[in-house]
Amino acid sequence: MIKVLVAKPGLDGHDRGAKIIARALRDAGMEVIYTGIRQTPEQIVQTAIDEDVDVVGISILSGAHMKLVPRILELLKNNNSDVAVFVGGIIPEEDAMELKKSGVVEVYGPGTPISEVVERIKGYFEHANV
Amino acid sequence: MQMSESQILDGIRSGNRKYFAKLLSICEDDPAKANHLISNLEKHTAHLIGITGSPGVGKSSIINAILDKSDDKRLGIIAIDPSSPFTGGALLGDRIRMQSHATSKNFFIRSFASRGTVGGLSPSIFEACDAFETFGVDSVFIETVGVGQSDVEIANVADTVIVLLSPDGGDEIQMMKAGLMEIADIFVINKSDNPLSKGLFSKLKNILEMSKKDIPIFLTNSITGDGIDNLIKTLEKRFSLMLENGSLAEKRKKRVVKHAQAILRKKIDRIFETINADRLNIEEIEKEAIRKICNKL
Amino acid sequence: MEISEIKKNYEAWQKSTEELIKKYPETGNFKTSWSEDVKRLYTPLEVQKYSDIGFPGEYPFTRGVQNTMYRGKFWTMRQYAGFGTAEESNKRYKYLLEQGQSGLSIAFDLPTQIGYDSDDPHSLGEVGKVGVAIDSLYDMETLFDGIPLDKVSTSMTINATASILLAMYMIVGEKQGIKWDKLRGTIQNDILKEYIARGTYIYPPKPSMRIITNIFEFCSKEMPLWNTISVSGYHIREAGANAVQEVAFTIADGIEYVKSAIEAGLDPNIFGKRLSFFFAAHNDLFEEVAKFRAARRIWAKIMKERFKVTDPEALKLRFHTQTSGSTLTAQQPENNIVRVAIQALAAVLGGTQSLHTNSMDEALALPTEDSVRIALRTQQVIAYESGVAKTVDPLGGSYYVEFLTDEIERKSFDYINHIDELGGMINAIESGYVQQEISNSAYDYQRAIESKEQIIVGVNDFKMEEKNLRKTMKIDDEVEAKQVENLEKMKKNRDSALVKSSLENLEKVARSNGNLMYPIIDAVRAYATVGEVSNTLRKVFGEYKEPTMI
Repeated sequence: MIKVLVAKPGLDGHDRGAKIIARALRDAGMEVIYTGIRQTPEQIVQTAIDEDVDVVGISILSGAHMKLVPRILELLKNNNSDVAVFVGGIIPEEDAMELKKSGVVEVYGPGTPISEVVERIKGYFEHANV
Repeated sequence: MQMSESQILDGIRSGNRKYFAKLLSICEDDPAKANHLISNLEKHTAHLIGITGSPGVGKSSIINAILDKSDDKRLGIIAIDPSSPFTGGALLGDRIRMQSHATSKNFFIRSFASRGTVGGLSPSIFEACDAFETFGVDSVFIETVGVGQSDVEIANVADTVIVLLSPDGGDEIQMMKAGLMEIADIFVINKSDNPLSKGLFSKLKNILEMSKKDIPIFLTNSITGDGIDNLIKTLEKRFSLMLENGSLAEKRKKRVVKHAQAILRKKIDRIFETINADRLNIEEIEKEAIRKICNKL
Repeated sequence: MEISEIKKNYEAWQKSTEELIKKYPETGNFKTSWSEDVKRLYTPLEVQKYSDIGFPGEYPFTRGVQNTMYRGKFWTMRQYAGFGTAEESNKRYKYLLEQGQSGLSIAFDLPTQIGYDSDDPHSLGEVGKVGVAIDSLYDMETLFDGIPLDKVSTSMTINATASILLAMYMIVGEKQGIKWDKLRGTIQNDILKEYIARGTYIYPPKPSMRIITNIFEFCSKEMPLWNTISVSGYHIREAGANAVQEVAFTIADGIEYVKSAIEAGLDPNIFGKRLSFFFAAHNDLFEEVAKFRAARRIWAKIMKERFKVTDPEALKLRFHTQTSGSTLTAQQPENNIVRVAIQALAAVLGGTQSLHTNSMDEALALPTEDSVRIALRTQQVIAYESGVAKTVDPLGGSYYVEFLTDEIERKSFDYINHIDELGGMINAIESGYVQQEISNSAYDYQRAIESKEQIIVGVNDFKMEEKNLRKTMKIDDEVEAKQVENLEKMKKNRDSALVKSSLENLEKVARSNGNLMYPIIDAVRAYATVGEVSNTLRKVFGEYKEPTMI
């Protein structure tokens, strides 16, 4: 069973994408925890640890990703967590590259087929289990 | 992350949440191993409080309101949501209401999926409760799925069952007749600011009087926190009384039997999954199942 | 031709068409946004009554709220803008006014919208990102520096903190020597849709509604030219609602506001004139035109029948439109210019009073100056070249559009009646009903895209390899540091005793039944910050938590 935390850091309330992803992952047979909006990096990381999830999916549209995502990565690292981090939202290409360099597994922009995200997460764990 | 048994045990003994979180995952994935680990840990009796009631009645909100006023306590929360019978997936959203407490050192909130269990609980509910008792919490709140009448299983798990009602529910009284009334130790009517709440209060009071039941009813408001202090006090009083008069010990004894029953049931369920469905004869299937069970045991 | 004869001919035509289809089958997605089948052909049979269509400027206003519509004056071209610091935004506003834009539309950053100062931990990474950062009156003075407030009408997208920003605007006007009753503009002030879709709420619904009615009351006395609320379907639609849900939930919100205005003692005949609406324009041209026409008719009927309004001016649904940000694609972004043009056309054919056209690069980042200009030019081409503004309601009488108008009206009333049964919109929101309906539609739509039932050009079909690095606008992180620094400086220079006493007074009024606008104006005048005022009210009212609907 893959357990996923879908989290919305920052102040933007556009949760359409986060909710769609949460539902699609459920329909793909995963257990999905949704945090709701306006989560601080501290809340997200503590939740990921307490819920012992395999994946954290971060949805962010406000443009604050370069502040918030690195902070989440840093806190995960402080907790020795090896949870896989995915990011979705309006993320310019150069930012996406930087985030991937610092440990984000994948960054998804608008228009990404949900099936692609689902397959990528599934594939990530099949691969990891080998 | 791979962790050895001794790492987990040491981690929990030192109060590290990450290891405790792992133990809860083991409860879900490998209950036998969990029971083994738990038996190696020191247990501290906690008040196991079930909260049930129909969807949307405000179960998570009431727990959140209790958390708001429990800074000095160590509390565990088990929030259960349904798994899809088709895909096995689940959306665990109860946390949303309690997220402001996510970083609190004294509270530990954990979401569980029902994973095919009927009765509004998780198949690993007994193990999960036991696990919480190794983590030094004072109380554990168990939020059931909330599908109504079938959520009566909670009575086998919890020391105290709170049945939550809301004036918006409409058919609440109908529902109570159907079984929840039997399991309630405390009734809470949420949304006390709703003018219909008082009506529901007196209706419920009448029903309880008629059936000669002495069950307390509370009016609360989970937004303003009205009535929550009273509820907390009553829960505490009830628990110390149960400890004193031995009724908790009685309950816990019965609970062990139920726990064993649940484990056995799971095993039997698994055996049935292995039985070839080509045959039509019920008797033969039954015989084979018994044979397999006897072999396994 | 008699109806019976049309019917006979129609049936014959259907029969021969069905024969043809056997040879040349139809292929495509023939569904409305609410997943009903669109017929092959619409005829007088679907719109036999033409019952409620009426005339423009007359009840029930299906065809428009004015007799002459764009023959008298084009819609207001109003581009939503604001980013970074007040100083930078001020420059952008002056540029847009020079380019021929006729009104200002202010975007605030999220901390300002949710009542956090730029130095609050919640604001980390958000300062100046989706709009301009305003901490105090000081920033507001900079924002409107050199812009005479009696010459522009200003629309502010602000909700939970609308009272504070409005107070600041008034004082800026005052300092320019302009009386409050001369100020023109709109505050969005629609908190209900924040709970439903947009998420910038602070307090629970009840105290939020009190603040809103306080504003209504205050403005009816002091700012008669100010539009005190813009009931917004835009964000509901963007959250995934279909066209019917957009209309129905927006109007249900509107009903709630009128109810509370009446409870506060306001006359809906007067208050109704200060209400405006805000809708999205999506891609489905005819459906969208029908949506605007239906919305006008529904609102007129509700104001007349439910609220017994008699003044025709208070029956009119006036609205601002913005093209749909969520339909824009990050892939082949130039295609977005075409999408925006179609959507803008729908808004104009639907009779909008003002329009914002999105910029082609918004799915990538904040728009650049070039793309903002193209967006504005799109409106100018529609206005001056396309000819659609030559006559009023040019699509009126189209069998298809009239059918859709009737249908959207009927289905919206079903929703509105159901919400009444739930005890009104606040209950429907608190229980999560409305959010769940929208979330279901959003998920269905996404699945239609995944299955290619719905084609999105450049996204799930007609794809191509693209060069990745495009020029987009980025907000420098220095904005945050600079804003925090300015805030610190400002705090040192103000009269802190006055700030303290004004906030204490605000708290006192909040705990009583008084109108909050007056103590907020006093606090803001003393340079109390958005965060300080909001936190004072947080202490009294508490904070809202979203329901567990996914």
